[in-house]
Amino acid sequence: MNILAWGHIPEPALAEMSDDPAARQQLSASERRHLDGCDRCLGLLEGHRRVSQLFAAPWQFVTAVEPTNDFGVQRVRGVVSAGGGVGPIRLSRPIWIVAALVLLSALVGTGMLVGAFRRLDGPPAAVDARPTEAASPSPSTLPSPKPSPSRVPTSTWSAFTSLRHGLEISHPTGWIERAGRRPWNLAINQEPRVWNLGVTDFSEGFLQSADHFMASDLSAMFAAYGMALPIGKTYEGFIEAYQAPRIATSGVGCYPPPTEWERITIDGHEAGLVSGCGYTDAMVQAGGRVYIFSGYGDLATNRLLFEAFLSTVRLDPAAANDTPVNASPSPG
Amino acid sequence: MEAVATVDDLGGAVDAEYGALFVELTRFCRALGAGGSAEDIAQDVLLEGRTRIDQLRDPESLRPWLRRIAVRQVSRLRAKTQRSIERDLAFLPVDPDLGLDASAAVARLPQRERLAVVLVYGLGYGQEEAADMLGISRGGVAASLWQARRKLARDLAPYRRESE
Repeated sequence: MNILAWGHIPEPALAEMSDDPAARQQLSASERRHLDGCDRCLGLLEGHRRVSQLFAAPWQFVTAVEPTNDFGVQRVRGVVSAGGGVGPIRLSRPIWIVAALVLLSALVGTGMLVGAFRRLDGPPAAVDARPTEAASPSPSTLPSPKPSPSRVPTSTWSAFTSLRHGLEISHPTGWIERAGRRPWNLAINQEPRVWNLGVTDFSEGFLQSADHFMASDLSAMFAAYGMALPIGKTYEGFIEAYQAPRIATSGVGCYPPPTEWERITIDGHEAGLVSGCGYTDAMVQAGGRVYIFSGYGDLATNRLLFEAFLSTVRLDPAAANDTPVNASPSPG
Repeated sequence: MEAVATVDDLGGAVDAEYGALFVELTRFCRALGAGGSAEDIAQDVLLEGRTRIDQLRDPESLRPWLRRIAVRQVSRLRAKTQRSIERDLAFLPVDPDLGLDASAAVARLPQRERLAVVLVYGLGYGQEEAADMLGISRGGVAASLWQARRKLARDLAPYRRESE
């Protein structure tokens, strides 16, 4: 069959090719020539590939696009994920609905509404591996500086190997896992597009470069990232450069100096841990690289869970890959 | 002889599971685009279901039946209010690599296509189940999904030039 009968490759064929690159190889020479020179066909092919990528992405509740602000920053606010809870539940018309249902129940001889309504208090649990202990105390009151032994069991967690940053780590099974696709650097948080996936604001560059793991209800995020220590820069100088823009934005109160950091160990290396405004960071130097581990949302305060993440870290600086790549994959 | 569920049995099942059904339906209605009205609609769906429980023959199909009512009520709400998607809570696929525009394109789809995409790709229902909820044939769902895909592909085609 000549699929060029109407002058172009039909769209169903392009859609098929977008999902299955092998289908492109089955084109005849003339069809392939046409495709290579046809802007419309290539555009649609890429469009369909993007649609497939989009439909494979995690679905989340997102409040719409807020208008671009004066700084050209476009914000997206994710609220809860598909697998998560439905957020705070409010009975907006309780008296009316209770009266109606009581009446109906009376008519059919049942009367179980009280128990049923009581169940409304508990939205479904969404984070899979919360510690069972009470909420963790604030960092300043914690006496133990050591991240291990962890009190949150991690044996059932899912292992993740970072080919980008050179580390292994485990995260609670069921958390959304996203691998960094481009190198992280100190300037990446200055990139203009900002996302808020229900935890806090992140630059798009940060989300593309950090390995990160999100609770299914987006209430917590753990991120692992880092870079080779720049030539001529000391670890202390790196920390200063890391903190400077943050201090400029949020004040030194949110970013205590390293002298005030708690000393811990990560995979046998001496490390520092600091909790500030809405985050907990752990930083360690190994093999000429600086690794940073950050907890946001519930992980900013849930020390036990943060420690559990750190207890699973295995550093492998030699395996890190700092090769820059185009963040947008090329068409199939 | 096969036991037949009585109206009382079915009504009792709704009452007994009211809390769980309310949570499920609220989430479902939000995903369909009910926004801040999701809880009201979930309550309305349960009330309508409770009132019309005599029309339900198979207790096993209680949830699909309630979801069908929910789809109808959300569709009615959105048709009536013509709400602006820019101000709504939308259930969308989110991929930072593709950016916000790609996600927003899903929310801009026409009603039936958007619902088909949300039910099948977002919530993971099969085309048969989606057809049942939308009150159309399975082929109608497939056609809606294809139309949605075509429109989205045109919206997202410009990405090619940006990524080059």
